[in-house]
Amino acid sequence: MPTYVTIKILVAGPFSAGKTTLISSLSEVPVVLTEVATQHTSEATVKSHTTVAMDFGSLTLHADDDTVVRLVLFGTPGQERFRFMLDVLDEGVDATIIVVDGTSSERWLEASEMIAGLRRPHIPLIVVVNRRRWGQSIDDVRVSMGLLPEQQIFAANLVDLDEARETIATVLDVLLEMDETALLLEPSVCS
Amino acid sequence: MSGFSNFRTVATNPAVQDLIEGMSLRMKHVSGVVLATRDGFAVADTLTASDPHSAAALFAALAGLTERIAMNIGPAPVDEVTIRTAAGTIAAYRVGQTHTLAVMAYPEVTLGLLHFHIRDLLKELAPLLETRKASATDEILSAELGSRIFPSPSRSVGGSLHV
Repeated sequence: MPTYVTIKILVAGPFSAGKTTLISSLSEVPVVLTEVATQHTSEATVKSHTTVAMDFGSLTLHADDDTVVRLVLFGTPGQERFRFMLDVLDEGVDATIIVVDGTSSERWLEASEMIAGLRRPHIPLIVVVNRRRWGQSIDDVRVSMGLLPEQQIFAANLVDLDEARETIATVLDVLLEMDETALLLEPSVCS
Repeated sequence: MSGFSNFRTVATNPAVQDLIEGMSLRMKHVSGVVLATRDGFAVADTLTASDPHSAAALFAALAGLTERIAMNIGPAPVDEVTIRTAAGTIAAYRVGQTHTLAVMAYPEVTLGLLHFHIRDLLKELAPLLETRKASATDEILSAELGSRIFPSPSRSVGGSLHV
């Protein structure tokens, strides 16, 4: 019987950045969504539905005959008023993806505040710029968000399944490269 | 490169599973039970028609969310949450500091009786989970997966990793 290893990834970021899209693209199980219709004009004009509690999806990595790696993705709501869900879902996280919308620079600051609010330097975090504008420089986004030069940030069109997979592959690369002493995580027992 | 080391391993605890299954069989009108960790992973379940991992993720979120709601009346852990609909009842119970037990029941269930029996079950369950936690720590996997993840043709992502 193979050994199962589970990795929990938090997908956070401002409103309408593409978090639900990323999880829906990647999940092999039916995605758990908590989307409701947007009512306030400021949000209803941007999109018809929004996540109010969480998204959940999972996928399995083919390791070898003895080991199965299951990645579980927990998505947060994006609005400031639901920020408490970030703390709820952050429990036991192994890595974080912050999704920002390349076309909504007014929301980049919110993403920076989220990153600052997480305050857990030992958990790897990557920033993904979804819907990058033509010719937009990732370094400009980095500077605008006030990110450190060493902060990993890259562009990905998350409606494209291959690019969504690249995003996950990058997270795994980061986890693989980390010193193992930094990965002393509280184990949990799963079926 | 160190590989994925010291990640949470997945193992079943037969004693916990037996306890959950036994309760599910003994109690009238119970349709399913899930024991979830507070960070959203299924430990034991009796679900047949739905994915226990998705359920565990939701119940962990429910536990965390209700704890924050309860802060409005004072700082104390939430012992139980009940959801009633025309289709039935879901009751979620705190098991120590680390787990949530969710019980799904048909509309005919008597809530008082459910609470009564579950509280007894929780007393049996809590020590098993504490024991299990210590033993799981001993069994932390040091899987050097980095060099062992091999290509899966259907899910190639390019580069060195394949999902």
